[in-house]
Amino acid sequence: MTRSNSLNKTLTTSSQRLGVVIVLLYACFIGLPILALVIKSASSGSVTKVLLSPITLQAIKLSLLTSLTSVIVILLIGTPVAYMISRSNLKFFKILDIFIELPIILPPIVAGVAMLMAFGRQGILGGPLTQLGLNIPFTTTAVVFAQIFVSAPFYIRAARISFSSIDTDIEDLSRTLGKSPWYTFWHITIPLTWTGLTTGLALTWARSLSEFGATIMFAGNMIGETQTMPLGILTAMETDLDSALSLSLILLLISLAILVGIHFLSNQISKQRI
Amino acid sequence: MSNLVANLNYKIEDFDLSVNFDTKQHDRLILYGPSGSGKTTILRLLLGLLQPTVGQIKIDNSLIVDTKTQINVPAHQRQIGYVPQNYRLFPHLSVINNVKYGIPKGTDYSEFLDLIIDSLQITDLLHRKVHHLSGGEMQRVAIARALATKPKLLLLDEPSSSLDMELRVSVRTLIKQLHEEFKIPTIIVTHDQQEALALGTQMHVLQNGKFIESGDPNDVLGQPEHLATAAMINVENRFSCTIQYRDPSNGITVCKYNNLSIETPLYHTEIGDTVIIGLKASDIIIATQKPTNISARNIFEVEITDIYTGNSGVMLECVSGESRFISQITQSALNELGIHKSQTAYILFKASSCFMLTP
Repeated sequence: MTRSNSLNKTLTTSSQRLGVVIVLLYACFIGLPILALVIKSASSGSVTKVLLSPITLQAIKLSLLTSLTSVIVILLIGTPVAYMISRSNLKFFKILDIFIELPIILPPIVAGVAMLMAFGRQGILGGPLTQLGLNIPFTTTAVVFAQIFVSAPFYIRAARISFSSIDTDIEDLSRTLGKSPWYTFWHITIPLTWTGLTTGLALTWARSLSEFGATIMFAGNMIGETQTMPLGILTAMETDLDSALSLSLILLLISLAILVGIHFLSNQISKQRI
Repeated sequence: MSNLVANLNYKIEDFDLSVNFDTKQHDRLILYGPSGSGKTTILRLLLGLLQPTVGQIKIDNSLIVDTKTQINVPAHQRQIGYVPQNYRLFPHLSVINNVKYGIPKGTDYSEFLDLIIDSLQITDLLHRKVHHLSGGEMQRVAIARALATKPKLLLLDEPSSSLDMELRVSVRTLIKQLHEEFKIPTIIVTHDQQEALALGTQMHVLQNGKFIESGDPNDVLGQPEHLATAAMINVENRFSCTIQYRDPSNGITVCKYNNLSIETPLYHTEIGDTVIIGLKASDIIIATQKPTNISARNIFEVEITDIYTGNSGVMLECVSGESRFISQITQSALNELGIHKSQTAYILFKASSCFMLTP
C-alpha cells in the first residue's frame, strides 16, 4: 500500500468517525425529548385514565375528524394546483408557486390573525358571510380552515416536486398509445409520483394534527367544538402536568401511527402495480 | 392500407419548419439531418404533441389536422405508433403490461399480440421489470408496445442510436422484417448514414427545418446533389472548379481544379462556369508507382503531406501544387505499401466518382 493510499484511508476513516459522531448527536437531540416524554408519561401511570376521559376522547375525535377533513380537501384541491404549476410555463403559475409556500414561513399565530381579518365578523369576506348566516370563526369549520391554511403547502410543494420530476415525454407517449390525458394522469403520472405524493400527504396530515397557533387564534379553545389535541395539552399544562404528558404521548402515538400507516399503504400499492 | 400526406409549417421563435411529404404502405421513409434540424419536431407534429402553425395532415384521405378548418384530432385518437429514442418504457409496469398498455379495453387482440411477441422474441421477458432489461431488449419491448395498438403509421426516432454495433445490425434487420410482416408505413428519424442506407426506401435530408434533398438513400448518400448534404455526410473532397470543356460524345466534362484538369461526368453547364465537385475519400485509390493501362480517368502525381486515423480507415492528405485531396485506405494497405509522409505517390479516381454539388 502506498503512502498516499494509506493517508487517504486514514482520512476516510476519520471523516467516517466524525460523521458517525454527528449522526449520534443528532439522534440524541431528537430522541432524548421523545424518550423523556415516554418515560415521564409512563411513570405518571395516568395514560389510561386520561385516554378514557370524555375530554380527551372528544379532543382525539375532533383532531382526527378535522385533520382528516383537511387532508381530503388539500388532496382534492392541492393535486390539480401542484400539477398545473409543474406543467405550465405561464408566469402566473411561477408566482403562485412562490406564494403557495408563504404559510410555511409565516408564524401560525400570524396566519390565525390573517384568517380572522379575512373570515372574522369584521373581516373582508366574514361580514357578507355573517349576513348570509355563515359564521366561520370559533367553530369546528374554523379549525379545518386553519389546518388547511397552514398545512396545505407541505403537500402542494411535495406534489409539485414529484410532478416536475417525471419526464413529460412519458406522459406524451401514453397519449400516442391511445390514452386520454385523464387516463394518462391516473395510470402513469400518479403511480410514478406515488411515493412523493404520499410523503407529502403524511407530512400534511402530521402538520394538521399538530396545528396550534392559527387554530387558537381563529377557532379558539372550546371543549368538544374547537379544542383539538394540541390545545387540550396546553389547557392541561396549566392545571395537571400528568394529564398533559399523557395527552402528549397519545398525540405522538397517533401521529406515528398515521406516518407509518401511510408509508405502509404506499409501499403495498406500489408493489401491487408492477 | 395506409397513406400519409403532410404539409407542415411550424414557427417558434427563430426556428421555421416548412416541409411537405407523403409516404405509402411500402415505404420506410428516412428523415435525415443533424441535431436541431427539425426531425423530432416533425414527429411531434404528426403525433399531435405539437400543433402546426399552418398545415394539413391526412392519413388514408382522412384529415387529422387542417389548420384552415381547425380540424385537430387529439394525439390519443390518431393511431400513430411511436418508438422514441430512449424507449420511454413505463417503469412501474412489467414488460407484458407495457406491451398491452395501448390495447383498447374490450378488444380481443390476443392473437395479434401473440404474433408481435413472437416476432420480437420477447416471450421470455414478459414478466420482467423493465429496469432489468438490456438496451436491445428495451428496444424490442418499445416496438412491441407501439405495434400492439395496430397503428396506421409507425414513427421510429433514432431506433438504434443507443445500441452497440452488433445490436444495431440485428435491430435494423428486425425493423425491416416487421415492416414486411405488418405492412405499416414507417418513418425513421436518424442522423446515422448506415441506418439510413440499411432501412430507408426513401429519404429526405433536413436542414434548418427544410428538406434540401430527397430521393433513394443510396443515391442521396452515395452522390448527394446539395453541398450542405455533402457536408453533413462528410464528403471529404469538395472543391471549386471551372468548366474547361464538355465532351458529350464521351460523356465527360473537364474541369480545372487549380493546376489539375479533372474529368467528371457530363453536366449541363457552360464553359467557364464555376462548379463545386464532390468526391468521397474512399473513391480515391493510392498507388506508389504511376499506373498504366487503367480505366480511371484521373491520375495525378501527389505528395503525401499528412497521415491520420479517420472514423473508418486511414486518411491520407495528398497535395499536388495548390490542389488538395483526402484519400481513405485501410491500415493493411498503408502497411503493405509502406506509405509515409512527404512521399510521392499517385492518386486515381474515376470520372463517375465525381459529382456536382449545388450550393
